[in-house]
Amino acid sequence: MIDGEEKLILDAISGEASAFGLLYDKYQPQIYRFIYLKVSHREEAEDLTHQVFFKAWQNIGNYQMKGLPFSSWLYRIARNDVIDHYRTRKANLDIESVDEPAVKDLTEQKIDDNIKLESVRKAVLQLNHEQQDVILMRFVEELSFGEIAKIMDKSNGAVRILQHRAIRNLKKILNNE
Amino acid sequence: MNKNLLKNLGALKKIKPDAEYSKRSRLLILSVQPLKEPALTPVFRAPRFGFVFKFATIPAIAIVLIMIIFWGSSYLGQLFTPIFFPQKGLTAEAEELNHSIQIKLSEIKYYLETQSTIDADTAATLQIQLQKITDELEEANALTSQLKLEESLEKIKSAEQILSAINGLIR
Repeated sequence: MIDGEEKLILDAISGEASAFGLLYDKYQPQIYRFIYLKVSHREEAEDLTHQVFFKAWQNIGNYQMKGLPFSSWLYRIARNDVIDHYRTRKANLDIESVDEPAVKDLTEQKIDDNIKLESVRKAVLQLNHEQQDVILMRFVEELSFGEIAKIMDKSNGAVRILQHRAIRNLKKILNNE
Repeated sequence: MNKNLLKNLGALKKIKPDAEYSKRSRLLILSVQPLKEPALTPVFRAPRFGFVFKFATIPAIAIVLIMIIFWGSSYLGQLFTPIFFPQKGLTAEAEELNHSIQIKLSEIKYYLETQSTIDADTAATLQIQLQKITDELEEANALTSQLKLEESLEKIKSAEQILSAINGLIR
């Protein structure tokens, strides 16, 4: 939680757009990254991220602070929106348009680094959705087990098991390449 | 293996959204004030989380205002002036598209003006699509001024197709 976040949230709940704007500035990059790594398409990730923050702002009055980070609420909306997105996505979507390389976003990286990152990114996509979420939240966003558990509505133990399985599967996928 | 894997996963943190997109999205989101009291009763509360999955509806008129902000009629008119489309075939096609765009815009406006509220999902989608149309028309404008008329027409066609999709969405 950022300094003074509680006050920002209360101000946002009372309809202060500038307060929500600051929350947007803080959390939008990580929510975008989470979504992008799941959908692998820049434009779709942009649309979904916009939708997540639009819904959060419209629904801010329903956010209840119970010592839970605001980011958990956003991740929760993001997870639901990504699931809905997969449900409604057209069956005839061109596969090439889905599997867009992330290297475009990493122009400062060396080419070999980018190849490694692409390979890891694609390997993550081969995991099931829950395992993907745990890997992205734990190792990309560095969230605690407790926070991930709250986002996924699971116990800490269940998240640890998911992480263990996800790492094992990731290694298998990468070793088979 | 573990160390390298974790290092590479951590490096994915360098992925960032486009700054221009972020700025526009922020503006659009904050342009619509949230309702103080949600119009819909929450349908589900997750235990321990207090999270509501059903989102509030917002006044449809807010989206109409966004449309007006984005496209003054003069902007569209400017795209279709004969000076920019001197060739007969292109002019006819541009005029036809212009006509179709104007009709669809009127239909969307009428729909939004006659709705008291609209659900947040549809509103967010409308914002996104309207932004895309604006982008296409801006690009069309730039291409037209460079006299790349056929490419410009493609952009206008794309904008018209997005408008058709919006019409389909709100019907």
